[in-house]
Amino acid sequence: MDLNHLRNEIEEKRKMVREDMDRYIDIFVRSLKASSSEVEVTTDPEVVEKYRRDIQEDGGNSIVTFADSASVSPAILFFTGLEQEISTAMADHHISVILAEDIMPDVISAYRLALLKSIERGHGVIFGSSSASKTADIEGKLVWGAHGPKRFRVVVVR
Amino acid sequence: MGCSRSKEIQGGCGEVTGMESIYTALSNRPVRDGIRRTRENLSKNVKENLKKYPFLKKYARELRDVKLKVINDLDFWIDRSIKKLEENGARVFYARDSESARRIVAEIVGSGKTVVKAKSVVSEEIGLRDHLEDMGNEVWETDLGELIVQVNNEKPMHMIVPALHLSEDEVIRILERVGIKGKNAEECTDKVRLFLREKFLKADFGISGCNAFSAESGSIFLIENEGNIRLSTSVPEKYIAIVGVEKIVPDDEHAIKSIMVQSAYFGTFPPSYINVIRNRQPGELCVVFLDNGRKSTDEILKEQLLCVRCGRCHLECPIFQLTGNVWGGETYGGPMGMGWSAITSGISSIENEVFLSCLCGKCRIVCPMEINIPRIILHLRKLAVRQTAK
Ligand code: SF4
Repeated sequence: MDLNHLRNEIEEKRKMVREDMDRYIDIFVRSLKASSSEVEVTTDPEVVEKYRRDIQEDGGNSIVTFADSASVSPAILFFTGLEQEISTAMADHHISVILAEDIMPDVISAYRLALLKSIERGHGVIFGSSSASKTADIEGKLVWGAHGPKRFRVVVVR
Repeated sequence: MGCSRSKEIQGGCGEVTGMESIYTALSNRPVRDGIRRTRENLSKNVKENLKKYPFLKKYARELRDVKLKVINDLDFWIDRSIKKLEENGARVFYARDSESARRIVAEIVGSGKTVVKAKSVVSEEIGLRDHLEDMGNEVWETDLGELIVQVNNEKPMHMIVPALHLSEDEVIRILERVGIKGKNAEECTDKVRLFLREKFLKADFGISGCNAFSAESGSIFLIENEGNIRLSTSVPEKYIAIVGVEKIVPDDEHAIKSIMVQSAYFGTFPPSYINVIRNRQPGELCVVFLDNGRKSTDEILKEQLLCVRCGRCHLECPIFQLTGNVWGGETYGGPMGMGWSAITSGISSIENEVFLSCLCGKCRIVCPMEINIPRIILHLRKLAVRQTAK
């Protein structure tokens, strides 16, 4: 795998999104809401700390993680690393922070950005989430929180 | 758990033949209702997905060409995949048939272990769960629908929606048998979550199939909505993936395209979760490539190997709508089950059933890979007649 080629390709895509950021974020937010995810867009650099404090006080089974990349539509957030995969899979509430600059125009480039980061960090696992966990296995009735998080909240930091 | 599932018909354990169970299934109203309900929910979604994301049709066409190239040169791609996996630090095995696949997995697992399984048609194909249980292991299906049919000792009624034929009340009663008590779908799901959490945490092994495999990076790509695959492949220290050799695609890009097409044409898009496993450190990754007839198909049957297992052809098929998975062979069922059963179990496994198709061609129309299933069925009819005449 040619990592320099991968980096250049990602930079091109980043430029594309940067030039039309408002529109991309708008599409991203709408796509997440269509998957019943909660979304917040903020410019507050303290937002992560705020969530971390909140969940500590709350004492529930929640987790705050940084996503490595995301695709605009369909909105899928990608993460890397086995430990992080286990802790997000076990949480009841997953709060995921994504930097606007890591939003990519399509699923393949979002996956590639996560792949690049996983190689740089020596992580063997990449995982993507687009919503809370769900099932319709009993009489087609939709139930949230089958095995994974019952709530999925995305915080976009501009 | 009583009778052989191959001979079982819904609602009883009588000694009946495949054809008899099909005729019995015709009078089974809940199967028809379940399929209709699932089809109504999902068909609408498929149409919306394809309208909202027009690139999916392009992905599907591109994927067909790419998969065709791989299937025509399987040995090359298997070798490349094995090398990459070994570079990544995985233990890699190659199984020529289901018996050797069972033996390989049984040797890795041993006995007295707890195993959590993600829903996997290929593991049904090789009869893995029964085999591991017979060896003294505790094996749990972790997909909700699959767990329900495991506890009820029957085969999945659809490869993606295994318990579609059971009502909420029936599921409540079935789950009570393993101490899971809920009053409705929501409560049952929550109780299953708690029940299986304990199994995930104590499991020695996680086992899954594979939705797509990238020869470029040696990665296993899996999609799901529940999160049980994520837990099965990450929490236990040892993870075994069983990969049908037709799941190999040249690179990560096509693996992503394959899982996108599969979920969109099934009707749940985007999938809630995508899991990509290149290595399992800490821990151990074992990969078993499975041939089981895939490498020796004839030219017409070969087209079936393009299948991404979206399950669309089942729900749209007028015969499947009447019979459910009872028609179409032991594991796969439905129109695609004709080709798959012939590939993996030989023509005799469906020698009567191929004649029940009405050849309407709807399966071909809805298939993202444009597989000419009616042509495959006609071809199998010829083979069946020739075999009977011998
Ligand atoms: S044959 Fe086509 S429609 Fe049927 S499961 Fe395979 S890919 Fe889907």
